[in-house]
Amino acid sequence: MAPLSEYCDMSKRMLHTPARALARPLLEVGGLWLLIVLGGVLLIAGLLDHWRQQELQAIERAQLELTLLEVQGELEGDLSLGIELEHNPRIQGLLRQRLQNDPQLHSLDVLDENGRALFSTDRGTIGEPLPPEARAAAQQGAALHRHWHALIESTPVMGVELRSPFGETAGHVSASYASSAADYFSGQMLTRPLLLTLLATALGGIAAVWLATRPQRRLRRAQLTGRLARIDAQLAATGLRLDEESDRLDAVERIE
Amino acid sequence: MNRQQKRKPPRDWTAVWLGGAAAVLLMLAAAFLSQVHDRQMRALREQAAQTRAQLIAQSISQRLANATAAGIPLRQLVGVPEFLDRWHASHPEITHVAVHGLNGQQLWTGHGQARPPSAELSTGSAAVIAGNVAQARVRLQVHNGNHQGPGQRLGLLAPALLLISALAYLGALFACAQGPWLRNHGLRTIARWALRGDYRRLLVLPQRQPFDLRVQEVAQAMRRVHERVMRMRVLIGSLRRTEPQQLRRDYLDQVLQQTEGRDRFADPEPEVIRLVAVQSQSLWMSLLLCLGAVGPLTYALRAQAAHNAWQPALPAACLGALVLAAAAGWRLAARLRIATLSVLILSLVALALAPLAMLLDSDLHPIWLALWNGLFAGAALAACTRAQTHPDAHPGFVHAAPGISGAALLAWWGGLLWLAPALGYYAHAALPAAWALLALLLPLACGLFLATRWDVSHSPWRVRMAMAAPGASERPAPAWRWPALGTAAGLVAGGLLLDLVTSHDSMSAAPLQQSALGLGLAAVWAWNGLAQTAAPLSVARRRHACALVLTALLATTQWSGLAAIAWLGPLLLALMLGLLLGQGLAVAAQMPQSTTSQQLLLGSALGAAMSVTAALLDLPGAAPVLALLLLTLLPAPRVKGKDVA
Repeated sequence: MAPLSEYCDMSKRMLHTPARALARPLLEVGGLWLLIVLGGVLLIAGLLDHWRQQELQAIERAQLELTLLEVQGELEGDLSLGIELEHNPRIQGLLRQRLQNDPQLHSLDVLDENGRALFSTDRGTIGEPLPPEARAAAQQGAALHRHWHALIESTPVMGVELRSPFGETAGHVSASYASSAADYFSGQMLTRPLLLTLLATALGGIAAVWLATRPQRRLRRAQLTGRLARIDAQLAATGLRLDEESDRLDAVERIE
Repeated sequence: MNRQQKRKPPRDWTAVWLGGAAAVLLMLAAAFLSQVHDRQMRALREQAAQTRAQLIAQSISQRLANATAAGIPLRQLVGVPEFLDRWHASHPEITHVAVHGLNGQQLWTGHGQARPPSAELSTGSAAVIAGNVAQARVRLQVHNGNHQGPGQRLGLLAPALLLISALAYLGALFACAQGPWLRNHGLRTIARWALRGDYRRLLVLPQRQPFDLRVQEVAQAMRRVHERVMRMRVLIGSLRRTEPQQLRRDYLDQVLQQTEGRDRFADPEPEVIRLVAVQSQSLWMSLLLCLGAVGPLTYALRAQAAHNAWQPALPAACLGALVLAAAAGWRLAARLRIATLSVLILSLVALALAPLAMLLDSDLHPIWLALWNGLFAGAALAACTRAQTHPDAHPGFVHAAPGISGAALLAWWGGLLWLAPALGYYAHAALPAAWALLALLLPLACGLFLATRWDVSHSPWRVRMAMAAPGASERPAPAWRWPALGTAAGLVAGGLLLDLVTSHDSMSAAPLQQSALGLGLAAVWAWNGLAQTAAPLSVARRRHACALVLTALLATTQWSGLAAIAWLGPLLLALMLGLLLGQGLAVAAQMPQSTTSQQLLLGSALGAAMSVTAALLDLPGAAPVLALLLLTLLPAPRVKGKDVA
């Protein structure tokens, strides 16, 4: 026969919760949520970094553009005087001088209209054609009268077209340069402000989950003294009744 | 039982609170990080402007030196102001440029556009050297340049914040629905039975949480009482059978009657009823599926660099291929005789293979990705729908409150129209390739983890796919209603995907437009009560809302004061499309799921094909307008009230 206490200790047993039972409900409700929020912080940091990269790239290109435009101006001046590009004796010196002025530059080239190098600060490349993607970019840039950008073996290259006095494309001036924007992900992703933000968000998130689960805790406490206690009482009454009736049954059996 | 289910449980705000908290936390983090970013960029910009000013000054002084080298004295040079003006014109960031003599006297100055005075100026100067003698000095001021203000940057971050907050809200909703809400609902139900003395049924929860065993404790206590009563019944029955005296037999009957009292007991075993939160599980799972299928597709489309004549048509074509493959995958999966969970796990693994393949080989064409992802996402979606509708047809199961009818369908379309393409977009915009693909694997990993946790005995996720659900009554609906709704959804999704894929500029309005669409969907679902199996909006209210928003839109685009704001029109249009689509989908969610979903998927494939045509004909505005027309012409729903099949 089940003792009476078995029916009515339900709410008492639930009052004594072990310590780990405090963290589990929070984790259950807020674990996934907190992961998503922290992922969101990383996403925001990534977006800001992306914009920084874009701006760095714009700054770099603007500086490079200045050098290229100068070379373009001088060479176009020579072209208008009737000196043909491949027979211009001062280009090599000009390129070397410009390269010395800007430490960011790797090499400066003057290309013909098909992308073959006529002059270069890197003598080995003279006579070499551009890779197909870079040549396509150069042709597209010349068609739109814009600067063109390409990547040759992960080195960024920027170029401008040279136009003859009759408005035809006579060639290109291109520069390959070291980009600090390209490798920005290598070490700067987890900066101190980002770690600080992640920590603060995690703490704020835990506090938010704690606050959000407060109604649930209050409900459980209220139920322990309210509904569960009523059920306890009801079940205990039923148990008592069963005890009485089984006593009567025992009596019947004893009489027999 | 039915009457009890219809009684509304008290509203629990935990998920809404957490969603709001996510938005606030993310906003604070964004403000702080953006301020740090601003400070760094200002320093960088200042340095760059300094260098630039110096370079320009050197360039100008070089030109002047070249002229003097030709033998013309510096002061007799002609056309220097015009030369300086040309520099002003070609470099608008120059605020002031002048050439000064060695004694400090200003010789020439350029005339640029007047700029507001600003503290953010950098100066540069260079000597004009001719014949190794400095003859003059070029002085220059350059504006540092500021591309984005902090407010503008926060505005650009807003769609990302909305996306993450929506995901966080849905995550919290899912976690609450299968955790505390399920147990609270279980306790309410079983407490009602216990207090009424009804021992004929016992409630079982699928998962046991050691920190909250309220329902299990009550059920155990009730079972013990029931077992004692059963023992006494058997005992009295055997005594009564061998008892020759009528008087004693009557006494035994009386004892039995008093034992049972006014309580009701089952004979011999109480019926076991399982309370399952399969609707919210299915909601979250199909959202994860959509994120895992459409997110990598958007990423691949954005990462693809090739430019050809078919390029503008590719996003919508891929979307069409994806939904068509999803319809086929659904059809195939519905015939399989294996458990829904097996289909789900297989599909999740297959979907995870796509980003892994992209990690290894970046040249995978998006159309293959679309077909593969669509096929398995469709199969998994069929599995979700099958599991979600299982309790409706089987008496041993009860849906947890709050119920979300048609959860898989709503989540899939919400994901397809808003969350999944946006996630792919931001993964590409914010993260390097390897990280982005790993991030896109996260939803699938989460899905796999959850699917293995749901593999418990008697889980609705263990039913077989091909088993026909008995009693699923198909309501006749106008034959073209759901295909038309699907077509509109396909048109909108195709157009938006194209905008997202082609916007490489950080100032693009496409993410904003998409989040406006998402807000429209969310507003309607929150208003209609996503959580309730509410009656769809009545005809009059629907028309009224349509007319109101249309008029507002027309008024704003016509009004000259607002016509200048270019982004307002598309944003309002997206919002209205979201509202209308949300309404249509909320009604579709009340319908028998498999046929409705099939029709919607096929319709959206048609819609995507139409937006391919629009993109090829270079009519970008046609797709949304056509979708709007279709949505306003849709007949009002005839059915009212709850119907989940």
